[in-house]
Formats: sequence, structure tokens, C-alpha cells
Amino acid sequence: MNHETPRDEAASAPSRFALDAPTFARLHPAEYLRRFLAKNVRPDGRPYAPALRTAKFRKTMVNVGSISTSEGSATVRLGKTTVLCGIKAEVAAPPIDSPDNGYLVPNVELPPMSSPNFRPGAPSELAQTLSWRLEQLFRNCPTILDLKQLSIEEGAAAWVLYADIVCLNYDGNVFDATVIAIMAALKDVRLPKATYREEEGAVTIPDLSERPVRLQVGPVPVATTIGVFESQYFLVDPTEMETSLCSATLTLITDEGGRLLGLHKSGGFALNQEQMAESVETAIARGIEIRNQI
Amino acid sequence: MATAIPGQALGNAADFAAGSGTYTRHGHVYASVIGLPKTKPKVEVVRGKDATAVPSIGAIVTGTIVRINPRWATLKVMVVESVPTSEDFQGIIRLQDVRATEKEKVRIDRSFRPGDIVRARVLSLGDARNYYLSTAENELGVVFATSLGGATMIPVSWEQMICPKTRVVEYRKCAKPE
Amino acid sequence: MVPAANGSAFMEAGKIKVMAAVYGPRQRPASAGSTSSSSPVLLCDFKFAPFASPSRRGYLKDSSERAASLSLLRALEPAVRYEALPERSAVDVFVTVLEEDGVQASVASAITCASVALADAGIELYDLVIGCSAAFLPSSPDTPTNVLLDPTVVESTHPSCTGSLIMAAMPSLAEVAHFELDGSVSGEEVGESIDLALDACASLHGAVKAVIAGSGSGDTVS
Repeated sequence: MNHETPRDEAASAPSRFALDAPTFARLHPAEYLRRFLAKNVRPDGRPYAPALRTAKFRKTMVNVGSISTSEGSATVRLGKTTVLCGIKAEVAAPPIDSPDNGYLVPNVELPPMSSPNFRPGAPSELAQTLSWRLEQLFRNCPTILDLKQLSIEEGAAAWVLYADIVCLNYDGNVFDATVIAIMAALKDVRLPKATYREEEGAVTIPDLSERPVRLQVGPVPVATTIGVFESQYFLVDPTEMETSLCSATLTLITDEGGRLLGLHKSGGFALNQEQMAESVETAIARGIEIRNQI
Repeated sequence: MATAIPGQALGNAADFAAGSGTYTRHGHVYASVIGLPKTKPKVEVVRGKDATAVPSIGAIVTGTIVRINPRWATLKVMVVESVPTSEDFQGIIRLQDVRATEKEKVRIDRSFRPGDIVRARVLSLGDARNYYLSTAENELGVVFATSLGGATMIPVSWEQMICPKTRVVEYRKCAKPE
Repeated sequence: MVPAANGSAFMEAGKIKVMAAVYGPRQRPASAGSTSSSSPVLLCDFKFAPFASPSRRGYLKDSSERAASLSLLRALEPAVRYEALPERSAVDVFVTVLEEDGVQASVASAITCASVALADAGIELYDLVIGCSAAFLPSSPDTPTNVLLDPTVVESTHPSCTGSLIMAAMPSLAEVAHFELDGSVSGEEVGESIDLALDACASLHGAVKAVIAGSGSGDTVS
């Protein structure tokens, strides 16, 4: 810690058991967080104020195109949370109800290597929820990625883009990071030219090494997640420790025009109009910041 | 001295006694961790990072009670001696290990409640899932608890705590204050 | 690299990109090992990311990943000082290949990367374990077989490739921790390949040492 930590004993009772800061954080995490917030600072050093618009996200870094075995890739670091999105393209029959479309299949993986809280086995509820929310985003806002451009031959063949997002280190707020990653990776996608041969009923790719086709991406969604601690503290871009103490979260997804593309609120808490307006303002400002980076 | 890495030869076993972070083989002392070697008074390699704390038999551990049943209380161990662990360990305090006297009269629900912070000693590695812990010493037991009313309770005896707001007495196996 | 873990390392070898994270010593899960045995246990998990290979891989482990997990365990076990680990503890080693270029070469890199992550986590080791791979490719039916070190995916999957090997060595102690050979090769070819592989391990060891000494923790080796 490079700032003064509230050093004290257990809660308000006269203490008999003096604890140092790391032990106190472990045994009384809620009180630990409360004391930081009372001093208008968060445990990782970011400033805290009831006015949401002053809230800060952690340092965000985006790196594109590092995985050559993928058709498009992006690594995003949001503070210590790190996710890597790799897009693989395969050919398949198009959907029956929209034969001139292709597919985008997002999937989020939270492997045990990224956090001591994730155990090996089937995808956790959190991972499944994240995948579902990404799917919903693209389904409800089809202008983000027009699936028609993925069609190779109407009714016969289309590209399927598998967007696999692997979390490499978990420190809270994976969702915001995954949205940045998938958008940056989609912009990085390079597909080869593919033609459908009716006689053979198959798709041929004349030259695998040539990748001239780029995707047209519409409005770029950016997500802002806010954790709610004890129904009164709104923590923008919560860390893992903060997330574990928040009873509820609010996620806003905005586009360039300042329109709300998605709002996800979990847990019971009431937002008044002012807080709602401030959240939207924060989300829009964040959107501008991020779009400059992708 | 430059950073040593595992497998790096540090000296002759005849000249140096092997300390922590080293091992001896074929008459030589080698590093077993990444760190800076120190040669006085004996050869050891000091790591830059702190080692992860792991409960060992006889160690004092501190943690939170996660659940209770009539036969034992489950403790999520978070601190070993005074070092927080990087991950939680799980242990149980069985009926016979709650206190040293009047063991037949012990009731788990009058000794611990979920949410209490308890200091205990590691008795044994226990079974596959849990370390076996004991609070059967004066200095061991509940060090912090919240009353049903939500206030921090104050111990009044080794088996009672009082809520300062409501003056209601609750039963806990309390640790003797320092 | 992975601050959530006790130790981690990232390695790039040509196009191959591997990430390893180590957790431990931690409480052994109830499923691993028998309750009567209190000795510490090393658990290795090897996985290719879905986008790591030319063809997409699913989330469930396939047989090559399960086999690689076992190779990883066999290669790392001889290096771990079990007597320094607390009783009934477990050390979890997770390796994810983010981009592969030849399965054998990727597994060899995984071994090296995992041993650096173990050292970063403070797990006491007798030595670092350096992995190396080779493929046997005859250049024509008459000439002797070439032993190609560190084969790429094109080389190791070539139709005329007669075999491949993965070796893990502990260079400071001049010991071979693990060796596996697949295919049909002559005794001479095996001998030649072992010499070449040991040399390769030694020089890679030098490079890894330099990186660790330079940076301290959370290493990137490339």
C-alpha cells in the first residue's frame, strides 16, 4: 500500500487483539473497505466520492493481433484483470430462419489458473452468465455486427465466428473487459476469400495465406460496471475484493451516440434519478475513452 | 551477490552449513528457490516474495466460523500465526476439542455462531476435507463476534458475551483477552 | 503475469505462447490422493486455448491434452523437493498454451514455463526443468534421417516424419527428468537426438537463468 491504511483494531469495540492491515483486511473485509471509503479512497488507491462522475476506472490496456493461429485476437488488461479473446472462423450451414446470415458465438472461460476461487470442472454460473450476456448484447443490437457479411452463399454456407474469451487473471469486473476484448478482436479479424461451389456443394478457399476480408463493425458498445456496497457506496469498476463485498451490481452498455444498448441490474437496491443520470454520464465518458483505444 | 536460481551451486558442503532455501547433494550446497544468497553465518537463499502460509500442527490459526452443527463448527482459516494465507483453508472444531473442562456439557451452538472470528490451534491434519482444530485453551476461542442486534459484543466471562446496545447476553467460548 | 496465483510465468518460443500459473501449497482437494496418505501432492493441468491451434479446440480436454498433463507431471516431479512441502498439501500447476506451433514443441515449452512458475511460487526445486523437442525427418529415402530440434507444426505433422520426442532435463544436475519418444526410429538416431536435445536444454537453461536473474518475479521468457 502506498498510502495510509486505516490501521486499527476490530471494529468499534475496545480492542484486545491488535491486527495489522493485511490480517484485518482478511478477517474483517467489510469494515476494512468501509474505513477506506470513509476517507474517500478505495483499497487500490483510486479516489472515491459519492459523485459518480469523478469515479476512475483502472488502467486499461488493449493489445491486438498477437495470436497468429486465430483469425483475430485481442488482449485486454483492466487493472489486474486480464482477458484474451481469440476468434476462430469455421464454415457451416447458415441458420434456417435467416439463410443470408452467419453466426457469432461468444464464450467466456474462467479457468482455475486465473483465480484461487475458480475450481476445475464444468463452466461456473458466473462464466455461463457472462457468455449469455455477451450473446444477448449482439442479439439485441444486431447493428453492432451485421451477420449478413458473414454469409458465403445464401442458404448454403456461412462463416461461424467463435469468439472464445479466456480470463488469464481475475481481479473483478471481467464483463467490461470482455466487451472491450471481443470488439477489439472483431476489428482485428481477417478472413480469406471463400467461394461456394454449387456443383460440389462445398466451400473452397483458394488461398489460405491471403486474408483480405475485414469485418464491418457498427456502433462499438462499451460497458461500465458499478458494484453497490451496503446499498450506499457505488464502486465503479470493482476489484475482486470489492465485488465479493457488493450485494448488487449495475452494468450499463453505451454506444457512440450516448444510447443505452443494455442495462443489467442484479441484486436489490434502489437508484434514484440523480444516481441513474450520473451512472449514464460515467458510462458515456468511459465509452469515449475506450473507443479511442480500440 | 547475484540472484540464485534452483539448481545453482552455492558452495562446498564442507565449508557451509545448508540453511533455508538450499539443499545438499554430492557434497555441494545448491539453491532450491529463486532469491539472494547469504553466506553468513550459514548459506541460505532469501526469497524476495513472502512464502505462502500453510497451517501446520501446533500452529495458532485465526478464521471465521462458516457453519455449525451439533457435533462440530466449521472454520474458514485465513491467518496462520500472524500471516494471512493467500487462500482459505478449512478446519473443524469438534465437540471434544472446544474446551478443556466439562467436556460432556459442551454445546456447539453455545460456543460458536457463524460469522464469529475464532482463534484456534491446529491439532492434526484431520481428514481429507478438514484440519482438526482445538480451542481448549484459555487464550483460544471467539475473539470477535456480532450480536443478534448487530453490535460488536464484549466478553464478560470465558463463556458469555454481552451486546452493548441491548444488554442481552449470548453464549460463546471466549478467548481470554491479552 | 497472474497476480492472483502464487507464482506464474509467460513464455514465447517462436510462435508458441505459453502461460503457467502455480497455486500452492494449498489444502489438498478431497478428491486428490487417498486420505491415509499425508504426503504432499503435485497436480498438473495442461490445456490448449480454443484458438491456440489451426483448428479450433473445444473446452473439454481431449486425449492429447490429458497425455500432456501426465507428461508435465512426470517431467516436474523429479525436480520438486517434496520434503519441503507441508504434509497433505497440494501444489496446482495450470498451463495454458495460447498459441501452439507443433504439439511436441508446445509441450516442451509448457514444461519449461511450468518449472519457472513453480520457482516463482517459491516451491523448493532441485533444479529448473527445461523441455526440448525434436522430430525425425528423412530428407530423402537414401540419406540418413535429420533430427530437427524444436519442430514447428508443419515439420512435426509432415507425412514423412518418422517420429518425435519430448525431453525434459535438469541441466544443473545433468539429469534427464522425462523422456518420451513416438514413432519408429533407429537406435543411432535416438542417441544422436538425445545429445542434441541435451545441448539445446543447456543453452535454453542459460537463457532462462538470465531472464530470472534480471527480472526477479513474474517472468516473461522469450
